[in-house]
Amino acid sequence: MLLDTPLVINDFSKNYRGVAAVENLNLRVHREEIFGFLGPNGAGKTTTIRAILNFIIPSKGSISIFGKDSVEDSVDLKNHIGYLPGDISLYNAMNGNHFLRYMSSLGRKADWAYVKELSAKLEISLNRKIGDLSKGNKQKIGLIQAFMHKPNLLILDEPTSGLDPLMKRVFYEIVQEMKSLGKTIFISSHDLTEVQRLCDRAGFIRDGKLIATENLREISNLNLRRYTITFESPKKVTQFNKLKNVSDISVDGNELTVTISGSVRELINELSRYDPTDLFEHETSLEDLFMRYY
Amino acid sequence: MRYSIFTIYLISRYKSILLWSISMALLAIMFTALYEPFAGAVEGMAEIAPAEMEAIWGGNLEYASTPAGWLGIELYGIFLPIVLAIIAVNSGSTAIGGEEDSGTLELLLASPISRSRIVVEKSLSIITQIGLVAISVWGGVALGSFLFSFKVIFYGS
Repeated sequence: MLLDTPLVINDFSKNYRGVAAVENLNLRVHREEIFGFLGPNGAGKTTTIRAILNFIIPSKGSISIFGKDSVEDSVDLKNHIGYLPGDISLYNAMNGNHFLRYMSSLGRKADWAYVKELSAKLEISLNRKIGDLSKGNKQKIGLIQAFMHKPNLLILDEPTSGLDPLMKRVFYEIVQEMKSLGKTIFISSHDLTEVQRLCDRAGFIRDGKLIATENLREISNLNLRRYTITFESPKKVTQFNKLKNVSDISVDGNELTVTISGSVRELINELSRYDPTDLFEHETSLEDLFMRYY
Repeated sequence: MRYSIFTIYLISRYKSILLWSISMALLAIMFTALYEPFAGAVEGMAEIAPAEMEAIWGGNLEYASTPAGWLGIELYGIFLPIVLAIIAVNSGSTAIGGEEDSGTLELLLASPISRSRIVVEKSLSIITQIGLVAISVWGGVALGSFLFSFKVIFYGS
């Protein structure tokens, strides 16, 4: 098994009734890399993931995992892949333990000590019936089943959906730990902030086409944030539109909303003169980013 | 206990199978109880029945009025095939379709097992489910023949 080439996607296309869901996608993910697969909803992220796992067969091109073909060697490859479906659904009648034992008996041999460690970290009881758990807690069970056999390649579709901020941080730690063990992690997301925080590299997909891949450790121009600042009294746009690094300024009564890239020094200095009462950071939307850079 | 697609599917259907088993066993007991009051009527019925009806019991009146013939025509000939077909259709349609629908099929497909193994295990599970109901009917007849004056041979010939 060629551990150094965990995932190579060659000219992959998938058509549904003549309509292309993904077109000529080329991608190479390296060992010990956390790769973010970014795109708006319906861009083709899940289609690509489904092809990697051989749920669907490519219309064109091929996908190679650890040097083996994703279709030909699909069964054997799954011993080395951990998969978290997006919008996960589990067997509601089982409890967490039964579910993991079932999954383990289907071939992905769980490391039970690790399962115990994960459930402690994620603060989830495996003795409760899955049907009684909240969405976030179901997500945690889903994460445990993806990680339980310490696979060499993790494919995670929207892994943090439903998790609270504290648990997101725990998840980031678990992923970093896997990376340090030499594993490769492929994460799909539409949350730019999360990908920036977690991933080494990111690919941007829109309308089924890979627009760009960026090394997130090297570039800072992706570091876009959007803030809403509330003041004591109403303000005018003209008071702020000469600031450096700031764009998309809008004022609504005593609320100012700006997009900032790079240093916040000047913005903060300026704001402090106007009695700010509140500062709120928005989740950076991909659309903002696309409009700006692609 | 060892978990497999076969056992998990069997367990997930236990309520339905248990209900069918109990109802069919009760039905079987009822048939054994009804044999005596109705046995005489069979002869009368045979005389007025059209040829198509007669075809059901093969026109063999002597057989139709024995306990074995009574069960063979009424229970095994009409009720049991219908019920077993209902269970098979029901179980068959949820075996793969139910998992696809709820989204859990992805978890099976993400495991290192072939698709044909999923189909085979699910199929064996359906056959077992039908078998369990059939065995309950046998049990019902056995109990009925113990309770009422109803003599049939349970094994061999």
